[in-house]
Amino acid sequence: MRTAALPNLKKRMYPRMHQWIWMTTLPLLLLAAIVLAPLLTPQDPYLITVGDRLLAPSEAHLLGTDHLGRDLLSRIIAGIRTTVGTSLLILACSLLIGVTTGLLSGFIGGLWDRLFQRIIDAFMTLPDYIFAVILSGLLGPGLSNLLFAVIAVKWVGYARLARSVALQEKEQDYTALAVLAGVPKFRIVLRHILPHCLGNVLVLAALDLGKIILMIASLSYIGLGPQPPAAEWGSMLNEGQVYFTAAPHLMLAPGAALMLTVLAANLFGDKLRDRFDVKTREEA
Amino acid sequence: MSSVNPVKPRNPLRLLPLLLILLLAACSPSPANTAEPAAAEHGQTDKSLTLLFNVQSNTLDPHTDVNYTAVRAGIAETLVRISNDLSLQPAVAESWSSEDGQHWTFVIRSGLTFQNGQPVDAAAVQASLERAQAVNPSVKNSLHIRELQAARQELTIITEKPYPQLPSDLVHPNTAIIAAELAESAPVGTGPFRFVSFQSGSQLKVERNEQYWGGTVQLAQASILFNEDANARLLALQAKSADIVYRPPVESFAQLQADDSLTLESLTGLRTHQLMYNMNNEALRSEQVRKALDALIDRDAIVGSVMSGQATAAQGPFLADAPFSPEYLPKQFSLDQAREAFAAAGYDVENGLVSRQGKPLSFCLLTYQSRAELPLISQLIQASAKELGIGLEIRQVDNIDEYLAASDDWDLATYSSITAPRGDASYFLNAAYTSGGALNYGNVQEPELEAMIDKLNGTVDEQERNRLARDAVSYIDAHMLNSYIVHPNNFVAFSNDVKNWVTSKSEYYLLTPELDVE
Repeated sequence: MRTAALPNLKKRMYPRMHQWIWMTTLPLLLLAAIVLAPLLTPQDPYLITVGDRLLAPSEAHLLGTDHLGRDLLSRIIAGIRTTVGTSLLILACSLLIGVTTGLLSGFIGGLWDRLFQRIIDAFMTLPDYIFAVILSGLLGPGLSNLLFAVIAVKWVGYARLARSVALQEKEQDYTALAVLAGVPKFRIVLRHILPHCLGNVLVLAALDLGKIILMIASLSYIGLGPQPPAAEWGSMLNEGQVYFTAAPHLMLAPGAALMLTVLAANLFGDKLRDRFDVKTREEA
Repeated sequence: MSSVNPVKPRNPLRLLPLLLILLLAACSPSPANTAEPAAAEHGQTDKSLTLLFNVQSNTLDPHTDVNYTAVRAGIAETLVRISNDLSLQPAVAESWSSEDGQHWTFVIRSGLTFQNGQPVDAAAVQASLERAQAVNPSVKNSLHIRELQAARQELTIITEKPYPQLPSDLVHPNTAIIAAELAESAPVGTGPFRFVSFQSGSQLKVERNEQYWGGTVQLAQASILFNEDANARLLALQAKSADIVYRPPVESFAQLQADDSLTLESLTGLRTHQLMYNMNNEALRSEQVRKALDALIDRDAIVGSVMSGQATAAQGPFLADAPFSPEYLPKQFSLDQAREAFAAAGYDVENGLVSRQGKPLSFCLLTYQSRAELPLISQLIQASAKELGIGLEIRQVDNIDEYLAASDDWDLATYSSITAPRGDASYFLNAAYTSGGALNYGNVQEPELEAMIDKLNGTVDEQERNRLARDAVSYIDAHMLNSYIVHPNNFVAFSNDVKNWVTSKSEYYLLTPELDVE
C-alpha cells in the first residue's frame, strides 16, 4: 500500500509543474515554428528545380524532392505556417466570436437569446465537416474562403458552451449583488462570468485544435484550400498522390507531419482538460 | 481349381485424369474470359475486356459528347474513318466523290443495318447528320452544309461553297451516324459493339454486335471505365482489374517496362498542349505581352521533366513535319527576352520586375487535373512569371470546356486538343481562330486570319490548301495568338493477354472488332 501510495503522493506534489510544462512547451514550439518558419527551412520551399524532381531522401534533400524538384523538408516546414498557423488563427477567431456572442446571449437573455438559439440550431443542423465543405465549395477555393468556412462552423460550439456558463452564473448571488451594486453589465460579464467559462472553453479549444488542423488539411486535400504553389500539408498530400507508386515519400512526409502535429495537439488538449476539468481530475 | 484373385492395391495413377481435370478447372481464367460452347459453335468466343480511360464522359450522345465515347467504344461509326497513317477509309459510306468540291455524293454501304435491325439508308444518314447539326452548333459551323438529299443509298451533300475537306470533317466523332431514337441515353449505331449500360462519369458496358458489317467481332463484352486518377489506373492494371490502361502515370514507365506481363506503347500523338490567351483582357490583346508570356515557357524543361521525355516541344499547333506546318519562329525560354517584350509593350521594367504605373501585373491561369501534366506546367510558368514580379493565380477547374464556355473571369488557360486528327489543318483553324469557333474560347478576332481561313475553306487543290494553311499558321505564330507548349505522346499500357490492340493516333478508336484477349 505504501509503495503504491508514494508515486501518487509525488504526483500530487508536482502536478502543476508537469502540467504546465506540457501546456507551455507544445504551443511555444508550434508558435516558434510558425514565426521562424522562413529561417528554419534549409532551402527555398518554392524554388522549382525541374532537373531534381522526385529525388529520394538524400543528404542534400533530407526528405527528398517533390514533383517540381522543390525540397520537401523545406515545404513541410513552410507548411507549418500555412496549416498550423491557419488553424490557430481560426481557433482564435472562433473563440472570440463564439465566447463573446455566447456570453452576451446567455447574460442578456430574453428575445435576443431565443433568436441566438435559433441561429445556433441552424448552424448545427449539419455535421461541421460537411457544412465546411459546402461553404468552401460555394465560396470557391482559396485560403481566405477556407478561413471563413471553418470559422463559420467552429464558433458555434464555443458560443453554446459560453452561453450555458453565463446562464448558470447569472443566477448566482454574486452576480445579483453586482447588479444591485450597479456594476455595468458588460463589466459583470467580463470580470465575473468570463473567468468561469474560460477554463472549459480553453479545454474545448485545445481538444478542437487537432480537429481544425485535420479539417484544414482535408479541405485542402480535396482542392478547396490554398492554391499552388502554397505549401500546405493537405494540398501536398493531394499533389503527392499522383506519384504515390513512384515516389511514396511525397505523401508519407506531409502525412507524418500531420499525424504528429494532431497527436501533439490532442495530447496537449488532454493535459489541459486534466488540469481544468474538475471531474476528470478527481477521477484521476 | 478356383483361383482367388488377390485384392490388388488401387493404382493411384487412376486418379490422375480426375486430378488433371480439377487442376485445369482451377487454372481456367475468370468466367468472363471463358469461351462458352454455344458461342464457340458460331465461331465466336465469350471473351471480355476492361479498358480504363483517363477522361470521364458524362453523356453518350455521340453528337454532343466532347469525349467521343460512343465512337471510341465502337457503338457508333462515322461516314468516313481515319487510319493511323492519316488516310481516309470508308466506314458507313462505301465511297464518296465530288467534281467541284461543293456537290458531294456519299454512297452508303449497302445492306448495312443499325444495331436495332433498322436499315441504314441515305435518309437515315441524313436524319442523323441533321440531328448532329441541330444539337451541336460547332458541327453545323464546321460542315457548312447547305442541303442534304437522300435517294436510297446515295446521299448528296451540297455545301455552302466549295468545301474540299468535307470527307475529312465527316471523320469527326460528333458526326457519327446513329438511329434517331434514344440517342442520348442508349445510342444505336452501326459499330462492332452494342450499348448495354452507361453510368455517367463512371463506366460504359458494351456487347458484341452480331450483325457487324466489318466481320466477326472478337470480344463478346467490353467495359470502358473512366478514372482521372493516373495512379488508380496504374494500380488497376497491376491488380489485373483492367486489361488496357490509357495514359498510366508517366513516372511509372520504368516500372511498367520492367513488368514482363505488360506491354507499353508510346507514340507521338496529334495532340498539342497549349496556353490560351483571353483576348477580352486588355493586357493580353498586346502581341508583345503574349510574346513575353511565351518566353516564360521552358519547353525543354517541360519535355524533360514533367513529360519524362514522352513528348515533343511544340513550336506551333501542328507537328513540325506536317505538310501544313510552316517554318515556325524559334521560341526560346528567356526571362530577359520576356522583360524586353514587356518593355516594348510599354510596361515599366525596373530591377528585373515588370509593373505598370507602379502596380505589378497579375493574371488568372486556369488549369485542370484530367491531364495531370497541365497543373505542373502551370506551376512552372507561374514560377518563371514570379521572377518578373508577375503574379499568376492558378485556378484548377473540373471541366475546362464547360468553364471556358461559360466564364470570362480568366486570363490564361492551359488546354489540350487534337489539332489535326484528320490530316487536315482546317478543322483546328476554323474551330480555334474564327468567330464563334468551338475552340475559340479566348475570343480571338483577327479579320486577316479569318480571311485566310475562309480562302483555305474554299480551295480544292491539296498543295494549295497546304500552302494556305501554312500562311495561316505563320500568322498565328507571328502574332502569338496562342502559345503551343508540347505534343505529348500517346501512351497505353496493356496486359500481354490483349491481342490486336492498336493505339489510335487520332484517339478516336479504342474498341475495334479485331481487339481480342487470350
